[in-house]
Amino acid sequence: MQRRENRRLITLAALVLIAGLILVAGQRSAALRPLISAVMAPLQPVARLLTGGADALTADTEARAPDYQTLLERNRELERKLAEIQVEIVGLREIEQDYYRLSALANYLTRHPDQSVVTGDVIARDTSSYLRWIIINRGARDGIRPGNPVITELGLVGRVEQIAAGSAWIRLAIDQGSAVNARLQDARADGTVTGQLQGNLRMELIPQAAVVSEGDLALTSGLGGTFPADIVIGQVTSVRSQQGALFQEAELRPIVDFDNLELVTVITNFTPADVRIFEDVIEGEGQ
Amino acid sequence: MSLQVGIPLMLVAALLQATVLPQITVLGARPDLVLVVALAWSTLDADREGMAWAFAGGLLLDLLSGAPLGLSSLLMVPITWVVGLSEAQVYRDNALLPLLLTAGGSLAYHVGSVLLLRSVLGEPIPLGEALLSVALPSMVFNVLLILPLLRVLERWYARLHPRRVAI
Repeated sequence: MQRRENRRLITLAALVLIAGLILVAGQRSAALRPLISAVMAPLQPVARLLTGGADALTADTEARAPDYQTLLERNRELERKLAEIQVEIVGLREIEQDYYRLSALANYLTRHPDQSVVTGDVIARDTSSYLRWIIINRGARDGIRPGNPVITELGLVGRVEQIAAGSAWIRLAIDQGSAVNARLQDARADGTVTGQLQGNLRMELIPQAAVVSEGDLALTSGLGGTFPADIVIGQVTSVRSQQGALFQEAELRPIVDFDNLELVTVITNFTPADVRIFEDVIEGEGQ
Repeated sequence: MSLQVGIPLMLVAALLQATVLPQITVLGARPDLVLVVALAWSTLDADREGMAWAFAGGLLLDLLSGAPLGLSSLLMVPITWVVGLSEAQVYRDNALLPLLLTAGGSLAYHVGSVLLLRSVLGEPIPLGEALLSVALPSMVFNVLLILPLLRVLERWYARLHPRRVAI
């Protein structure tokens, strides 16, 4: 008994030590990146299949149920044929949805001929309840780099944070750690849009003098050089302004449906401004 | 032998957690399938297998996340070690024990996740709000999941570890 407990303690210490080393090594260097790429490659098709299956299932369950009930009352042959047709319809609907998305995307790209883009499928959503990231099936070998903005035809999705050879990890605009410099279209006031734990958006640091009204659109301002200007982020649903405060806040409704992202576009020829030099100066002043 | 079953099972659980489970959230929360599988196995196996499953499952979870690699293993291994302290026999005698262990383990995992994400990644996650709106609903999900999962895994465990009888 005692021997088994000792064995368990040694295993605990060894596994915690290895996990800690992996954590530190991954944070300090890119040495683990080839390994991550190698592991992610075979996972991609399975993850994509599961994500697509879950999407199709949630979209079509209601539509299928009454047909199934009716078919049970009819003969087996008709049931089989109808099932075949339904499978075909599900496939065709997926193609139809892809067509609409891609044609909307083509319209967007026609309006922005200067942008070089890569379109990718969402293959997984973050396994942590506290991070709102997605993984797509495009990566470094497709020209994607950390910092590249990610959009859909509707508006801003987020930015690329990590890459492997064939995958990219994208931090969504609704993630807690996301901050986007934005401008309200009608009020012409600048602020910062941040993600919230519940998956909504909040625009902060809006000057008190600005007249903000419900329905006003928040667009990327381009300030700070982290995102191109004029990408739609969200729409104002409520405004909070306190007397004596320097700034006001607005709750935004995201324009992009972050829960059902399937296809996203990465702008690959946009390089975010490198502000590390300012961080170095601040650190230098602090010493 | 256990790892030959454990690693593929954890792989499937991690893939489900990254693909299907985000679609079925209730009140913004979803079950932590990998954690629950590791907890269930640790409840059944008083030796080291649960910890090994937790280690492998944690790495797979982090591969499918923006969290740094190793973070989930670092949290799950000690939790499964504590759960493994309770003997399988104790669990058979007291059906409430796995529920309590899962509730405690889930809470520890979520608090640890927030603290590590804040310190390692610098994520501005408010602990109080995270506990109320994410950790507690997820804990309820996990507690609901553990009993049916234990029923299934018990059969697997019996196959992998047949009882030896002295003749």
